[in-house]
Amino acid sequence: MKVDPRITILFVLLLSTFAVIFRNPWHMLPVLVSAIIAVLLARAPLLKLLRRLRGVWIMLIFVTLLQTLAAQNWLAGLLIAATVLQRLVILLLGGALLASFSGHVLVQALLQLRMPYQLAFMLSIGLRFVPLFGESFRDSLNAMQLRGVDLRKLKFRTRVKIYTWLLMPTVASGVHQARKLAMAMELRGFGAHECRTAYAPLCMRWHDWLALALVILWAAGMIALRVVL
Amino acid sequence: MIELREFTLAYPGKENLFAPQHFSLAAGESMALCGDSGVGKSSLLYACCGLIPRQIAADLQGEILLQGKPPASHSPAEHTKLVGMVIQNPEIQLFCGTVELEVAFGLENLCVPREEMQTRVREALELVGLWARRGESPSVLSGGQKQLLALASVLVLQPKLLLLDEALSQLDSDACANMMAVLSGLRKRGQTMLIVDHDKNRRAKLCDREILL
Repeated sequence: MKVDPRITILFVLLLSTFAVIFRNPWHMLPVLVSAIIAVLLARAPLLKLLRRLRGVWIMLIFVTLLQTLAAQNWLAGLLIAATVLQRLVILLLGGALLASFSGHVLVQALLQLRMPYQLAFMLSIGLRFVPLFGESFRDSLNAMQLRGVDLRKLKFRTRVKIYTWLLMPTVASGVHQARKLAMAMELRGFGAHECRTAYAPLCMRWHDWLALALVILWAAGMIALRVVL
Repeated sequence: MIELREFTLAYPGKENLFAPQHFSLAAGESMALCGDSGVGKSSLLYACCGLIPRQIAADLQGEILLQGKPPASHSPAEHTKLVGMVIQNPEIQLFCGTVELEVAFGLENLCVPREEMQTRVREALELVGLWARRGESPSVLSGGQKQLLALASVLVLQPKLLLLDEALSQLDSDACANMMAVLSGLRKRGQTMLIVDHDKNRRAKLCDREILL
């Protein structure tokens, strides 16, 4: 049974807030455990996300090592590194929780949370453009390779230069597409009124209210833990 | 419905795109705009629906009247009910999560009540034959189905004037036949249409007359 996305958004906001304000790894641990349980319960696409963020994992290991080595006392360094690592993992898990909903459901949730609809659509369409940029960049790269440029054999500096050349047409094509999309949206009345009606509004059911109560209790528990410990 | 009086336009720093045009299109009529690539057919459509000069800067000369008033003088909501446009690339026009939501998007913007929305979405999707696929993501549809969906998203707003900017040029023969069947049906029902299309046969089937730019 899927929980209303508004409750998930609230939970992710609380998770992220605790991850940022808690500075002790022992305080952070229950937050991390809660995030893992929530991800498992929501059947969020964690493995897919982890595969997609392979580069981020390398960065996480690098940050941990750097924190440990940079501190005067290695134990203190390790604790700082553990905090940073937990913080980043919690934020990633929060992202995985949100990714378990489709874009239009999240937009509807944001709208019903009184976010201005222009902003909610800007966020959702902005995210839609990220893979389009990647695709367009890959197409340009493939076109270049088909014309005999073997990137693997080039020096790092030349490769960077080529990537810079490709960036311009990719950005230009993105801007062009964005303008066309804005035109299509305007022609369908986007921005015509201050507010809009909803075709598929979200409704809170009994289990959503229960989830909300649990989230509030959990947040109170985390704050109490922080105060007591 | 729409009237052009010695109308032409020029993009900043450039010459007029075409010779001044003088024509009108009555309600229920269907007309094609033809001419070589780059002559300004799409730009003329953009001017008809007010995107020029609202979104795209250009110098307008002469007069263009939509229901007796310049397009820019209609409020955005009025404008949406007056003119709808389908452009060449369906990918750019579709951005919602499901087929059903895509069609409902315009109605939501116009604050149409939910019950009425449901009826109109169903009618529009049945017209283009996509009702059975209403819960799917537009990204899984074929190119032809995407263009039909873009058409349904415009038709649901019941625009008095329908502009088609090379809406059939990217489609394969089957998809084109489907789209043609829908457009022919619209023409029989008295939908006013202004069409840009390079294909002579399609223009002959869909339009009462042609204007060469």
